[in-house]
Amino acid sequence: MHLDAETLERALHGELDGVSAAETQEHLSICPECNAALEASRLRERRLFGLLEALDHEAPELDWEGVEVRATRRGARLLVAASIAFVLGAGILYALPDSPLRNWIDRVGRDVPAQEAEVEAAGPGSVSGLSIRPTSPFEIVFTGPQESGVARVDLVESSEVEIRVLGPPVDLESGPDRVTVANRGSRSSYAIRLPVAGPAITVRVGNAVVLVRSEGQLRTAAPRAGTGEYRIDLARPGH
Amino acid sequence: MSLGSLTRAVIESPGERRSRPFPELVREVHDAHYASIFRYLDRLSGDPDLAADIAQEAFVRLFRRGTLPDKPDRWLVTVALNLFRNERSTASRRARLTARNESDLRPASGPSPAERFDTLRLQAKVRAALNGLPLRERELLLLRAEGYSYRDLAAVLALNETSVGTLLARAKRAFEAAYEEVDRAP
Repeated sequence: MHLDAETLERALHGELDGVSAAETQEHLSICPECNAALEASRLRERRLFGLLEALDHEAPELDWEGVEVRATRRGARLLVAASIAFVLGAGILYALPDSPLRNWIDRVGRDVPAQEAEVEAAGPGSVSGLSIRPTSPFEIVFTGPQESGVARVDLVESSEVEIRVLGPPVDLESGPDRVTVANRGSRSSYAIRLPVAGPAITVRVGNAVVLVRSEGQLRTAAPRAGTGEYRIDLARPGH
Repeated sequence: MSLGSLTRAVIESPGERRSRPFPELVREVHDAHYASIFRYLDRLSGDPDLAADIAQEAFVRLFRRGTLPDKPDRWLVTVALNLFRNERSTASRRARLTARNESDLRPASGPSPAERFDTLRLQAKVRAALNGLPLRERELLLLRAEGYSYRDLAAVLALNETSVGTLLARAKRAFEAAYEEVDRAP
């Protein structure tokens, strides 16, 4: 009796346990047909797996920055959700008749000096931006390169161009056919969302055209991150 | 440190794992397994951009997890495979648009036109043969080509471990027959 397909395959891949391995080895030592079948199987596999190499492409480098940003973004969302849940819970507790929370806050509030209760206005570092609906060919113009920072461009199912400044605020001037980002001296990054369809949109850094989206096509030399965004290096636009 | 010993350090030393910064451990997992996971997804999908996106997303999820699973390679390839199956059923308009444009931007450089023609022909034949297999056989064959053990194959693809060898033998026969048929065609 010869080895079955499962045993032959396991023998080929070293997947037999101790007893089965010894029995199979013993059988192979006296059965030239099973030996030949095993050898043929080995050669067939080598050939087939070799064919698969024709399909291979070089693996692109992993975008570690993108991995960490996306991994922590969800963590931040969870924190916001937890904060909202906490505020809602506290609000309900505060609204209860004879609420111990309200009594406690009233008591503490009376003890706090007025100047300490003042709230500072939001300082630099907040997110700013604009969105605009282009009706004709449209340009986003960065006035020049920066020392550092990137513009992350994403295509979305929307009719509006959206630009957000990630970092210290930068002046954004919008007109009927363009937005000018006055970014000289800035180190901010930008999240730009472009509609996948609609009027042509060009992104320029100074005089250099770094991205064009027109008639269902997108042209850019900027690399695409694993998240699907194009990353324009504002320190070296065009690279 | 060789790749083999690195893999062992990551997979077999949970005590050591706990004592080191998590991002550093993820990078070691990346060094040991990223290329294999990308290659697997690339062969499976025939779309290197999609393969890169999915491999990256799998690492995002590993990062979010905050701790390493016992078998990081098995965990990553399971996550990646689920993402690939989802992607197959909900391919978005944006993905199609960007994929087309990226390929437009690629320079046609490299070997001579004749060599390139032969390579493309071989690629097309292997791709056609592979696509002729049921998805489950393709997944199994390609995972084995990456060296996954029978236990891993059974866990990732929800198979009975005692029949993995038989299923593999069948998948290889089917691939060989499909390739020979494509190769014979004019």
